[in-house]
Amino acid sequence: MDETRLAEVFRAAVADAPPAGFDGADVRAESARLAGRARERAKLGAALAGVVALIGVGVAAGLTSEPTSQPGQLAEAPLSGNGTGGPGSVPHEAAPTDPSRQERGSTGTAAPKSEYSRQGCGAADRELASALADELPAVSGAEASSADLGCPVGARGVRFQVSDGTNSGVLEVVLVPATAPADPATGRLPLVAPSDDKGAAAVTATTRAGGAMTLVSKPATGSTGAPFAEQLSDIAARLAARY
Amino acid sequence: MDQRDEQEFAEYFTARRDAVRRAAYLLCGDWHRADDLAQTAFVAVHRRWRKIRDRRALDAYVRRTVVRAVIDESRRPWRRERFTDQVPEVAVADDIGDSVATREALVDALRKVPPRQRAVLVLRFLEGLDVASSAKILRCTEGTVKSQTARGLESLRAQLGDALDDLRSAS
Repeated sequence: MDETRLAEVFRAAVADAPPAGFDGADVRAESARLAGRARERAKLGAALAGVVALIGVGVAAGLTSEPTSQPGQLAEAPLSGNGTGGPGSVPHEAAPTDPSRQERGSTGTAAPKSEYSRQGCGAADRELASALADELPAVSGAEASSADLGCPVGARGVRFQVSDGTNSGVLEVVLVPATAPADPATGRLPLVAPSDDKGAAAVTATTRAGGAMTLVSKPATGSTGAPFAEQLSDIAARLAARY
Repeated sequence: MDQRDEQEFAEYFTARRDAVRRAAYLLCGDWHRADDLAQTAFVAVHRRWRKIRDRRALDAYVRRTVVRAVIDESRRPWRRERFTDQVPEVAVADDIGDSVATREALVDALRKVPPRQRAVLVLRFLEGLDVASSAKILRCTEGTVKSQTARGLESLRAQLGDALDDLRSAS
């Protein structure tokens, strides 16, 4: 049997297709439903980001308005680190060089102010969501939400609830563009803070433009492992080739 | 999407729906599941319609979406297909091309071919794609497509037994 004959047999096998179970209206309705849910998520993410920003401003204002020292107390370390404290102050620690430590030093003592500071990843990035859906169709119908990682300034990301066999959890993608401010500690492009979640898998690939594409898969409680952990490298490489 | 975009999508959908369903059917072996796969692919296209600059690449995008969904699904334990060394009983038909029994035998046999090899066979022999186009959709090398084709045909032949004996010379 040559290829032509083989093709005939394949076509014959699907010649008696039953009527389709969906039409264009179904497609448009499902598309609109998913778009509506994505918009709701984006609004919620933006609202949460606004609240977090307001709280951050409030905390910063409170810290800067506090007196430098109280009788019988040691002074707080200066915020900017550009001078010494008042009389009786203790030498403040050197600024942490580990980005993850900068991220965590937000309560009580303010982290050193610099262009490079971690923050949330903002609202779910639709473009990244679409690109990930291209590479991993399993997320096509899933809800996109804001990435929950320590993102450097200028980064954007998206997060999906996913399941992969017995494994379930979240899959997050963060793109740090090549134009993001360099990490002053290393002089290089900042990276996403490593995940503290037990069993999480993470892969970072260099994008075509020199940025960093990070994929993090975190297992849900009770999951035997991080979903799609074995495919992360391939997906990251393919996504990185797009940017 | 505006009216014009909707009209363009509707035209594309009408032109391609049945072809996508057929390919999905040979990939998964079930018409209901094929409808789900095809609808998911078209929904993905609809959502990105305004962003898709190269409309000539639409077919490849839809094919890739369906193929990947089938392959990803095959990795999930509750849907994972089971392979066996035992060749199933197959109906032997007098007229290979038209026999309903042979169609069923082909579909059953295809379901037992490993997913990636099955995808290559469907892309090449149902969709009529060449090696290069198939490699682009599957994001692999042309050499991989060729080897997967050979192995897929080998596997298909093993499943079919004598029902489609003249598959032997195809590659």
